[in-house]
Amino acid sequence: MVRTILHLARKDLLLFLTDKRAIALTFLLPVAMITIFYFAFGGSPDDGNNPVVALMLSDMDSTEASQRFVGELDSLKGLRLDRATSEAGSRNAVAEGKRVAALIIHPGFGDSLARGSSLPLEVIYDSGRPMEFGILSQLLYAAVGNFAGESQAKARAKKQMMETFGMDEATVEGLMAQMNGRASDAQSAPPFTVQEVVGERDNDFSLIQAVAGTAVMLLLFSVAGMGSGLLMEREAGTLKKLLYAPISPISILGGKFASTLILSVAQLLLMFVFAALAFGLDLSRNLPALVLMIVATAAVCASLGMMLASVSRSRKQLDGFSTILILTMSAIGGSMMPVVFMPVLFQKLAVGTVNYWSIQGFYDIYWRNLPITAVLDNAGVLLGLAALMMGVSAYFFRRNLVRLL
Amino acid sequence: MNGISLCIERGECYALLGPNGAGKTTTINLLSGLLLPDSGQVSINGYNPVKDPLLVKASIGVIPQEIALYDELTARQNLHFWAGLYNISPAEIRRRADAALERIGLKDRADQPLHTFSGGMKRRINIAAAILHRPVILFMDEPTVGIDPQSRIHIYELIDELHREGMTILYTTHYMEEAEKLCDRIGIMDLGLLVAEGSLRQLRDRLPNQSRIHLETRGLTPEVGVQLQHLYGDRIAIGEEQVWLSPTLVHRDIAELVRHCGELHVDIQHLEVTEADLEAVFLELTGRALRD
Repeated sequence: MVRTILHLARKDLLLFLTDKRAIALTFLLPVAMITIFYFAFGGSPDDGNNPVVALMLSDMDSTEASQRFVGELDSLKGLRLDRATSEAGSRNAVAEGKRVAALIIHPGFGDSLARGSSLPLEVIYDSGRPMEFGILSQLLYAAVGNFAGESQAKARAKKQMMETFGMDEATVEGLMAQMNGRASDAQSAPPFTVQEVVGERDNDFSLIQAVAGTAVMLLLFSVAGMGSGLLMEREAGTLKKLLYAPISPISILGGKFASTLILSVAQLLLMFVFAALAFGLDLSRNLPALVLMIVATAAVCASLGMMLASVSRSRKQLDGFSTILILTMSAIGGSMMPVVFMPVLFQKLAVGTVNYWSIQGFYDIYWRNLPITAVLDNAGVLLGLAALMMGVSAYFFRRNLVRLL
Repeated sequence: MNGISLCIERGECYALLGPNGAGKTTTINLLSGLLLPDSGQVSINGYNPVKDPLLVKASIGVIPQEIALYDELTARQNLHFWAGLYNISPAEIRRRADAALERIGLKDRADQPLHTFSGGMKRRINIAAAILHRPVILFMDEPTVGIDPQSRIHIYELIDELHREGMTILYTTHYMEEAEKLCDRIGIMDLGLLVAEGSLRQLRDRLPNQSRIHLETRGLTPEVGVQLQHLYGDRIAIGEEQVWLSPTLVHRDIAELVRHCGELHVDIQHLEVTEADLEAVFLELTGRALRD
């Protein structure tokens, strides 16, 4: 049976190699799409650190403190500051949809910082762009916390000592100085610190999202096309002729699966190699895990292609089924945008998609830098889904064969 | 299909003749194990298609109605692929494919993709693909539909060769000329029934009154004509030195007529028998024309 399956797969691969359009769609389109998605997700061919969110800023305080704060914001990765000279300028930029949000530093910022009182900061945002603002607010929250934490803690401690012990300001400052900074070290630390625990190495998130998300989505479209080969054989009469030969129907399905699997692995490999060569994705980081995830992803996608082709009664029906299913899975499963930016309900639904398990596996390898053991569950789920889908394919394939006669 | 019972001898070429929808292809699907019978038994080369489908399939070759080949692959690649589904070594496949291409007259185009071939050339490749594994029985399902006369002749010659080599052939067609020309026995099918079976002679003999014996004579006087009319009644027509007889049994009536002419001193210059064709047989048996 294995010999027959390989013989059938070889024929499909030969047919594939004669089809220039199929070759272009399988190998060139994904490369182009990865490039587009990489830039769309904020990647850069230069250093991979270009800003992704622009913030309008009006510094109406213009003190040394406010300028230090602006400098702090300016140094943040993933944030670009566009300065407006007036408060109205910032407000208008948001109102007209030119910017997702604006930060207005009102007069008195420096004094409030020194006194440890509430900072006169105002954020205006476009409620129609919640996801972009979500990213922005995280950045702002961390920046304000880091900047204001130390200054405000010192100011509050000084004020408390003066009120509690009736000391004058000079005495308190002298006392604090005598403590050799130990008190300040202990008490003036900001309420929290922000430290990246992942993504500190060479690979950037945009690239991983672009490669993993695009790879799975395009592979799904490719396998749907390859699966249609089964229906084309039905229409051309070659499937019926195969049934006259001394081979089992399952071998025919197996041959189609094997060729689709081989092409899927090749397509995924090409996408990752391209990402490495063009954008510097470090493939050497965890090669065994990458191979495992590529094989598992290819297997589940190939099985899905077989299932769609076996269930469909015509190529038109297959096109309809596959387009709806693949777009839905890609949207929910994280191919089009990271799952973390989606509503909670969608995040729960995502686990039912092929894309989710595959993309999360690639995140584990390249973003979270986890060992191969961390992707075993992802690969296991994908291979389990593949087995399930092949079972469904076999059932429907056998059942629909009678229509050939 | 209902009540079909037929037996094809080893080395025989058997035609299933019938119009579209008669059940010819269904018969092939049953014999090749693609369809399972509701009742009854099938035995192919000693194997039962229900119990041993793979053994049956290894014994048969099927040339389906449609040209079921891969247009994008070359003739040689197609032959290698189809032969590779059987238990044949790669070297042997290469040898047989070369021989088959030579035999069907397409060796010079062996490495060209099939989409550059005419319909007739593809039909020939279709046949070659079905015989590379040297089946004991070859099922040919209307293999000459829609092809040019040259390719048709090529295919007839090929079938004739295969037949002479001892291959058992079941040939379905709705062209009576093919059945008459190529096959030893003919089964006539209509609406899922085998309505008649036999050699061409046996089938024609079922319609004796549609055959005619025509004599050109010398010495046929009016008196002799009267005597012949007395002997044969309405079955005979007399003209000037000409006689037409509608026989009840062709051979017997020829012998009798020749004897009577001799007794009446009439010289026979020319004798011709016009027999009923299969079209007429089919019409007689089913009440419908073969191409309805």
